[in-house]
Amino acid sequence: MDTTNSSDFSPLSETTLYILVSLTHGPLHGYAIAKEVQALSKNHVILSVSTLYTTLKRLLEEGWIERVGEDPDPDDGGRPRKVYTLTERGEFILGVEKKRLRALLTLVQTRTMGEEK
Amino acid sequence: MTASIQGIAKIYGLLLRLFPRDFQNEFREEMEDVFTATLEEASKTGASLIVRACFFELFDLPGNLVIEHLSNLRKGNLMKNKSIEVGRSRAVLMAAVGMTVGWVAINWVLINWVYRQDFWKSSQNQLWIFYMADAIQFTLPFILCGLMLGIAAGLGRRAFLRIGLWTAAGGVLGYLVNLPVNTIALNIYLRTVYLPARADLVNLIWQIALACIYGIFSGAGLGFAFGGWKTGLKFGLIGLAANAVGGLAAHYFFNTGLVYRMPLRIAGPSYIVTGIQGALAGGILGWFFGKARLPEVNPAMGKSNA
Repeated sequence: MDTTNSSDFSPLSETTLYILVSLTHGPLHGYAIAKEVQALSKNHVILSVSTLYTTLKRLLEEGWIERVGEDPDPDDGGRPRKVYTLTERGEFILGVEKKRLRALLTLVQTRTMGEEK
Repeated sequence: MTASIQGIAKIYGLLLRLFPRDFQNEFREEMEDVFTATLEEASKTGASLIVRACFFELFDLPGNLVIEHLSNLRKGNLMKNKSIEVGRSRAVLMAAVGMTVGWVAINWVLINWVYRQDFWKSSQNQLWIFYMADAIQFTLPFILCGLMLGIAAGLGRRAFLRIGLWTAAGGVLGYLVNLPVNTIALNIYLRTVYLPARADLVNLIWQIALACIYGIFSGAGLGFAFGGWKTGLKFGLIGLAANAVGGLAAHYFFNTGLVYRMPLRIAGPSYIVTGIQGALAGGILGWFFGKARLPEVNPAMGKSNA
């Protein structure tokens, strides 16, 4: 796997981060990703369809997610939905972002505790 | 699905056609389905939520359209695989025709319509508007010249949008750079206005400087549209030379009164002068375009992607 310098893509935007996180429990189609992001963020992040798909397109181009076929039996009986999943590279990037956020949180906590004392 | 949701989804489907074609091919159907599903879910709660969902989508759409189109243009420069072969004589002819028509047409519009509007009388102190007319005057011929070269090269439909946009962007940059140049030149000109010989010289240098700056930026935009940064840089320099030669020739013909002795006076001397200016500048650009090796260009410029 290409482990390009982590500073090349970190920090991730909120939208990107939520979409990647929404795919950690398995492949989802576009609508399910939007609903999952809304649920994960407790309605704080609501993705418009255009934002969702321009972001998905970028993530596909970066190779952080990939299509894994189609959902053959959509609930509404419409067209089969394309399903997206995290790639190995996507997982790696999510890991890097997790480390960055954790370090940031530790820094804030340490500094705040120091001030309280 | 109710008729109203179907109708809204259809309108949304039409709006999605504003995205670049590749993006549409990849995602339009999916986006329509997801939007329809969003509306259906909203309709279960109430009509107000449908309206909210529509406004939310409409609010986000323009920004994403711009991002996608910019990304499409940028990507174009990285994907180079098609050759452009244009013979020099053909390139010179096409570029000269484009530039000449551009110069004559824009002057006709300015003289016969724009400058006759009362609007100009009331905005005499707003010099930036006058300078904007300059920008259009210098940039439009470059755009037409680029489009003619695009025709000569047999490029696809999408290429023309790209050429037009990047050359226009060059013109906008030229306008911004020329704003301080105009201010300085005007101050110097006003100080020398009582010395006609010196004022004429200042005016000439001013006009040539403007032409050169617009030449650099419009030429760079045109070159970038055809072949990326290197070609952009090269055509910036060629644009400078082309506009300098064209501008000096126009000055010569106008001030020696040569055009007044020409038999073709029906269109007035200014059109003949600007026509000569355009033909020379376009000819120079075409000469280097035909000669210039532009071996690679992005697929968006190719016929196959039209």
